[in-house]
Amino acid sequence: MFVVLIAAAAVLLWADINAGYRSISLEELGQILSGQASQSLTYTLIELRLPRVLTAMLVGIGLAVAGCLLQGISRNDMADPGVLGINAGAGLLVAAFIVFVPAGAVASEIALPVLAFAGSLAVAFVGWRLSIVRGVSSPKRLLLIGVALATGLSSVTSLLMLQLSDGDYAFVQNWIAGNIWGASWPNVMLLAVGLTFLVAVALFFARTLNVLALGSQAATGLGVNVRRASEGLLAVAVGCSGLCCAVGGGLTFVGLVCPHLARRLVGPNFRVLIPATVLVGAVLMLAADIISRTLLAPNEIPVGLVAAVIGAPYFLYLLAKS
Amino acid sequence: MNHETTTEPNTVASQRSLDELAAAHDAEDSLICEGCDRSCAWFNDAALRGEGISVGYEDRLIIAPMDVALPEGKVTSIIGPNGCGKSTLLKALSRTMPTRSGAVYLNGTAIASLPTAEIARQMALLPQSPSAPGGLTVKELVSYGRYPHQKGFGRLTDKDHEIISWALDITRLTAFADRAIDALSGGQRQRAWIAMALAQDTDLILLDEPTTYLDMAHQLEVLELLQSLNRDQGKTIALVIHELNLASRFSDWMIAMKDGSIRAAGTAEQVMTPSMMKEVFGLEALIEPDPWTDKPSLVSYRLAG
Repeated sequence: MFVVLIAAAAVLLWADINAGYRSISLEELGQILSGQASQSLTYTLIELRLPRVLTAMLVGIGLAVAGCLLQGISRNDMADPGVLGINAGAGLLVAAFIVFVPAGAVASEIALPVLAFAGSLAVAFVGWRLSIVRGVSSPKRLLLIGVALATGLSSVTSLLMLQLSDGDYAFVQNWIAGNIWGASWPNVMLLAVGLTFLVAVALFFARTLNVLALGSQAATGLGVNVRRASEGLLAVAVGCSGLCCAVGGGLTFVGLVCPHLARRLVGPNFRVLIPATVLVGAVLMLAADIISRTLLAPNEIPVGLVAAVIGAPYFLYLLAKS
Repeated sequence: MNHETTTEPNTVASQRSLDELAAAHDAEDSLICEGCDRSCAWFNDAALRGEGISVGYEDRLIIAPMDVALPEGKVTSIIGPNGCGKSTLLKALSRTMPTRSGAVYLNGTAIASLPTAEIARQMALLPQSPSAPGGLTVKELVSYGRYPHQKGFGRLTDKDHEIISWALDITRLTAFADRAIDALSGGQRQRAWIAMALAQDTDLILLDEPTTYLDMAHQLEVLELLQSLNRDQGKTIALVIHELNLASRFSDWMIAMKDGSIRAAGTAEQVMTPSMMKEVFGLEALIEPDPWTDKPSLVSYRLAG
């Protein structure tokens, strides 16, 4: 199963690199790598295509893992970064920045990812604190509070957006729908390093996630400090989705659907589920990215919309089947 | 593998015969067993004991401050009507519910002073109607029982594999090892959870209503399994159970609760009496020795007038 997924990811990666105005053959790839290709071709691949494609792939991985962790901690299949209000928190700060900070005052390439990340963390933290009653956080309460926060924050965002010019409005709207806008090598490196660390932590706690999935009583009986483990894993999930949100905007569907697909493929044991989720996230986002850049070329459709359009019917099919 | 060697031989409390424990209780001319509090000689040798523990929220007390002890190397049943606090007592004893006062001692050590993983190496807990994620196999579930013994990324060692196959074997689930939990019958599923608790390799196992929702044959199957674990492996077992005749038949010790306090404790003969039935369940009961097992058995009952 893993071989198939890795092969699929590799094929899509290559296809995605090739998707666009100028396609690149394997021969040319060899030339680029050995430094014999023309400057414009090298520039197209190294400075334009690769960062974009890698960002899409990494964002897919990060969101998928975040969803996987959240579904595990909350023992609820509907949990994803969107449902917990994490995206909405990021979206609000992004909209507020564009409304209140005059253009050019602060470099938006730096400010927006930072704000999006901060917004994600803040909402996750508030939701978690609110979900604690009598010293215990119930997953169900966490989800309900997340939904309420997401709805509330989104309406504030909409209110703010009413004051925007058409261009800014379109930018924020695109951001919320999920658009890879932060594709640059520094962002790719940041994502790659951050996600590698967070996914490694998640893998280290895979066996704890397995036990948490048996319910908090059984987990306690097996020696898990349920509250501390949930808080730690929640932080990992929020870190993953915050990073992705910072460069990929409010992509929602990926985090929900990828863990489901992965579970269908390899079962619920997190020790294999997390690696499978990583691959499914990469595959889905690469596929979505190809479509988003080629369907209406040279115009681009927000990749989040594409992911939702391919993901939703399949998800409905899965739900109807089970 | 010779698993018996990993369980310590029963210590003081079980060397003391049940007759002795029972005699201590007979000496008290009261249904409310004074022999089970900390003045009792065997109390401090109990596998698990609570001293002055109470559970409650704000002004509502679910369990009034009480002393309770589970004799080591024995099967103990906790009985009582719905809402009497028996499950809550089990949760308080197993640190899955916070106590408002008092302390719980596991093999003589206060559990508040022990890391939760250390407690899990000494005491296993099977919650009421546990649920496993869809598609999880029997073997995977049982392997999760090794959690408190694992380190790092949690790769299973040879010893882990050995104990897992032993647990599957003793619960007669080896043939179902790769079957999904949700595809099993109720009785098999309960055995799979018991196998998980066994893989935890503890001397003490607590079970919250392990027979509820099972038909009669499967109830017997579960209780016979628990009995053999007690007799052959020397495990101390405590369970919350609704079926009084089964409790009487399979337990060495019984604790009857009502309204958050213990109303009777002792052997089945001491606890399964018409006066207990009246006080605890509000029933007028006809109790006779079971012709097959000689244990007190509820023949018929009606609401006490």
